[in-house]
Amino acid sequence: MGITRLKRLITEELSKAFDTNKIGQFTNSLIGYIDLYKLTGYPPNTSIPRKEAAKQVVEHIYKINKIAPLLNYFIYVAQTGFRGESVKFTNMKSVICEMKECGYQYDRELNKVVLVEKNTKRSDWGFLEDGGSYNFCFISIDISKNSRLVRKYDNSLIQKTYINFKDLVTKAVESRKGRIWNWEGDGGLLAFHVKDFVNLALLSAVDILSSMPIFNSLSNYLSEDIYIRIALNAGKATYKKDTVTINSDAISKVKELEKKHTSLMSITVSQSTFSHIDINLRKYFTAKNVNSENIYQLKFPVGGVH
Amino acid sequence: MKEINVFNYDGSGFPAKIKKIMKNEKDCNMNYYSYSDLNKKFSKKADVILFEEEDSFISSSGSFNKLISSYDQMPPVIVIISNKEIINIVRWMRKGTSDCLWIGDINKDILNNSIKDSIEFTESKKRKIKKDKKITAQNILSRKVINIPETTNWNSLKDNNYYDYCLVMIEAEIDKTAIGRYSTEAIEKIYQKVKSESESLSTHFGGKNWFWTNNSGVQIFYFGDRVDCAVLSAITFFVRFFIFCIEKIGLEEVLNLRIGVHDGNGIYQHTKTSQITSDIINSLNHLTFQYTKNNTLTITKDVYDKLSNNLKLYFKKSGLFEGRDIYSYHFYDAK
Repeated sequence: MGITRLKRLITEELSKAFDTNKIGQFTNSLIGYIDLYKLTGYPPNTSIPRKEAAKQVVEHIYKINKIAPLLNYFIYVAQTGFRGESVKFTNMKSVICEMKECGYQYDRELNKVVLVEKNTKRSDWGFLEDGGSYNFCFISIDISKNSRLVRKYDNSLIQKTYINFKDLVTKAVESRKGRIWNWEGDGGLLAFHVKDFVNLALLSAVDILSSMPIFNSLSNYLSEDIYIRIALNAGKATYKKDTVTINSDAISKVKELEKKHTSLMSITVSQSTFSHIDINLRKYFTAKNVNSENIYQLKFPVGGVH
Repeated sequence: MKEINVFNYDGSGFPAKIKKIMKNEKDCNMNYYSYSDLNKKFSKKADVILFEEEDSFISSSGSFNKLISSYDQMPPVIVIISNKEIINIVRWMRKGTSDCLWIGDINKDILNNSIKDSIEFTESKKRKIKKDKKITAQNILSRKVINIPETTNWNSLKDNNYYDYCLVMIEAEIDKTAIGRYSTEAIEKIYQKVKSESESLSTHFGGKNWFWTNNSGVQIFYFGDRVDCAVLSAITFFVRFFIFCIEKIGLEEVLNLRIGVHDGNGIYQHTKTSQITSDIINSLNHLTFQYTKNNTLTITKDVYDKLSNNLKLYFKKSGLFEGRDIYSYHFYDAK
């Protein structure tokens, strides 16, 4: 019901604000050229009524799953105009209300419309498209000697402790707009994509590592401390809804960096990622050459100018 | 294959007797030595030792002592005695031997049973030692539940009375190289934020800011497991200082930080804290400003001795203060 009303409201606004020609131009700007005659079924060289054009365009955009980009562009045009001319959408308020009813929200920080779910952080941040290629910063995080711990301790103690650890990681990651893409109990793959995502990833990693003493003292049910490794690497990946199946060179590299080149209780950053780290933070890293490439390690406690 | 070393006194007929008894035992490899072989360095491994007594314990104990000193881990020893007196047998058993067999009784069955039982007895002793060690280690490392008080009533402490409390002294300072970038007002605001962070953290662990001046101050812990709470508060402040400086207050660098922790008895005042003088505060002052380097967290022996075992693991001995050990925070030895 909600989405039908939303489509109708947008159709009305477009048809009131634009003629058929401009509706075609609006669509071109959003999703590329589309033949309105083919779309509407009207014979060429006839006049397509603007309301019909708007209706078919909105329906087509909905079918190809581009409602969020449509809403983004709609709001953008309302704010900045279209092709040098100001545009007045008279029922903007109703569109915004209906948008929220359908689970969309304008995120002021991201400056875009995103799909939200209550009590859940979407792995696509509400706007990534399945099959789309994007830049991310990945974190690989792992509890050291998990197999020994699992053999030594009762399963219930392991479960409680690891759940607490995951909560710690979740809080550090999601508060900085990251997402947990894959979790295997004792660690996993975290992804950052929005805003200054490399530095946000680094701060998440530092947050997790610096929380370990308190975690071990108050939330660890085992009779020994847990130690972790963290690695960061930025790069491309093709987004898929089933994030467990996402793979790319950047993801393989971060896993290798964490498993083979990261000391316990430290953070390792790849060479290519290091150049994206805030220049003021780089001085806290130590360079190490591995296979003729520099990797950069951050050990604790971090601080002070030495 | 069992390795059995046989030691007899010089000129004894014992080897011939044993060879005859054990000639058909295919799973035993018999090695024959005399007492004089023990004068040289002896390192032949064995699963069991047969040691022939010469007359009595007293006359043989010298050679027996040489034998046991040549093994790091002594295998079971069956003593073949010629003296059946009870006191003689008791002396051998006190020496840790696993069995005493009278030479007149010895035959294949008696010897084989004794060998088998001696090996089993020694193995079960080893298993018990290992098990006891594991339990002990677990006990040492077993995680104590730290009592962080949910409520604190500081009004229950009376002015000018003496109490046992734990103090955490914090000093944060902008590095000399960065000082030119900040106005006086900006510096004041930064230090004010450090003070607020100190208050927030100490309260979380059942303590509070007791007094604060510009860029340094003292937290006090009295309730619950005061030492564990104080140290946990100090560790948290210390390791999370990076995130605090860079992310929370948006600086371009991390301030220099020194923290000292001391526990003892001292006078308490709710207000007029600038007038408090006591040995514990003086000691803490010296510890923090004279014995603690930049970006270090140091605790006194009084604190260390009262810490729970898992928190002790974070600290390493780092020097002497007032004639006693002090310990510095050590996050982890990355290997």
